[in-house]
Amino acid sequence: MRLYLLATLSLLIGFTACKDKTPQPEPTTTGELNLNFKALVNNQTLVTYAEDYSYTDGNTLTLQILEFYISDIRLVKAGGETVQISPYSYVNFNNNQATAASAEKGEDVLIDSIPPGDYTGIQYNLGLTEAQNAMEPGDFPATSMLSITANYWTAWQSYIFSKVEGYIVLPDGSRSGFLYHSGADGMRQALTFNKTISIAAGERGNLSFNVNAERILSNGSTSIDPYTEPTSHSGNIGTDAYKLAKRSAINLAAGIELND
Amino acid sequence: MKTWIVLLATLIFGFVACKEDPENTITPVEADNGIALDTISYDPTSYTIDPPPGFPPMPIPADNPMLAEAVVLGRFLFHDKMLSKDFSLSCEGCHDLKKAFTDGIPTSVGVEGIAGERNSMSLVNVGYNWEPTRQHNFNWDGAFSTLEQQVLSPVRHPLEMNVSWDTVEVRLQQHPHYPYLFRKAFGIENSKDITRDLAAKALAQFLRTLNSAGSLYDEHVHTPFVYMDQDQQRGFDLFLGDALGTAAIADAECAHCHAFTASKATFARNGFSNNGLDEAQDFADFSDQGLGKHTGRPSDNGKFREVTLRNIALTAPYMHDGRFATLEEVLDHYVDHIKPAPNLAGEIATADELSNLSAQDKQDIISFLHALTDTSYYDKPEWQDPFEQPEPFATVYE
Repeated sequence: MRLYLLATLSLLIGFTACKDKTPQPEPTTTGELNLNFKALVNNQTLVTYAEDYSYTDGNTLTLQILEFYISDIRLVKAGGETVQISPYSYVNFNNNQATAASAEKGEDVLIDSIPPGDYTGIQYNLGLTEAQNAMEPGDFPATSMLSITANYWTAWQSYIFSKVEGYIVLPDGSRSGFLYHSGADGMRQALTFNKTISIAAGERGNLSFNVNAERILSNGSTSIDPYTEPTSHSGNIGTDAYKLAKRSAINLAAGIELND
Repeated sequence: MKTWIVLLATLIFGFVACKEDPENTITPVEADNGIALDTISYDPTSYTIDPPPGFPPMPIPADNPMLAEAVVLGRFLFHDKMLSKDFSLSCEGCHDLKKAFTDGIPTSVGVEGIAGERNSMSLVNVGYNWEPTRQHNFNWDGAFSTLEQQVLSPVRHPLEMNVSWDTVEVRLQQHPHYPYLFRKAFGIENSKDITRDLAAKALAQFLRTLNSAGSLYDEHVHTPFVYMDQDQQRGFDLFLGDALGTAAIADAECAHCHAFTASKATFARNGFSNNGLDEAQDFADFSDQGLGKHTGRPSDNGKFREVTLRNIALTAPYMHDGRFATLEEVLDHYVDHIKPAPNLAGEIATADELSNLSAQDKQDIISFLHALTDTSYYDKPEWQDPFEQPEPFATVYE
């Protein structure tokens, strides 16, 4: 009897001592980085379609559309070496239409699978690389931001790198519209921002960018007069039409700043 | 002992006497419990959509993979007037194959002559309207995200087929043939398992097969020694605008909103915009909110879908309310009658060149639009109405 009890007890101890064989998840070895872009006009949060912003001549400025590609997003190491963390993304302030409160959130570009470490800066293009721009929307699956026909301009054989559309409200209440689309190889704008960026495994970092939209029109020697130059057109390199489109890209890039 | 032998023999005889039902016979179990379908084989066949020339692979939702049997089922449902309140109207009633799946009237008419509010939209290449990352993809006002959601609407809409899906489900479940078709498509085991969601999946799959790109323009691009004529070519240049790499004095630049590329020749930007149909001082002025009704954003009021221009010559009248009877009226609108609004599309608001278009320019553009007409699918048997046959369901059992 005792022997049976002892055997039963042994079996019970043996079963309860068995290790849990449920597979454990692999520890995360990479980190994430969120790039938050907030659109501003004269330091005010941009609410698209709102007729609330002052233009330099005292009239009011309205922005209806503000969107652009960024590409070849890289983190910079101390020795200058870079690590690409994303080939491209698209920033679209379409959600800024409702209220200042919704516009305050900005637009997020979340990038995962980033090697942990300390970095000294971030760099990316406003626009697409030549290799990306050699493709067409039909070359990409429908889930890709490069598959969108609306972001390609056949006349240029190019993606539209940036779109800025809006109008100035004149004293008589009429509207003077403007539309600047940039695209074509040669209009890509390379941007570099210096800042200590620490990426830890399993954690998400955040970088906050302001997009100062008034710079699109007012940017020193490359300023654009929306009354006399209301629309960018395609054009061969060197033509005024090409130069205007490129100035819009230069100015938009100049308006992007990384917050501390 | 003899009693037991008799009973046993009876049982054995009973089992042996039961004939195995032929594979295609639906065996009633009990009327209240539906019809058992598990004796019917279920071996669905994958269906591959071949993109037309100049089109990429079609995006297919993961929860509704293409199956040949579902496409067949969808074809029957599309043409079946049983999906309307009084059995008078099918989907095909407002989507006539020979009008590029539109109906040729300003706004569609529903059952019992009910006047609708919107112009019928073309279904050719409609599967390419789906952008998986976007919420608003279908209908003039972007009411629906997926094709599967969209096809449910006309059946229950009071201005269209005006019947509840509860009623349609029962009709399908009790139909002499649809339980078989649903079994072959989706593997249901009882007729009671026929649901609106399965019907929607089948309809969506059929619609995804309605692809064609056989216009003169397509031949001009893809077929050696076939060309558009001079007027059509000139119209194409005006349509594209800036075609020669310099800003043109007069150009229409229609391709901004009716965009195309060599590998995605949809002639539709697939977006929504205000193209100046109605004047508005502010966003509350629009009597038809369009996209704004579904996004909740006032600045989306008055925006409607930028449709494909493929087959546009077949789909008169034009715009969401069918207000323009001819392409000439459309061109006149863009050149001379744009109405101001705070969200007027920028491409139109800044297009001073439009007013420079001459009568000949407009006519050439229209000539090009006619070159986008494709009638190559008119006799496609798999798109025809099966109910025009004396025994429409006879072929499904082959």
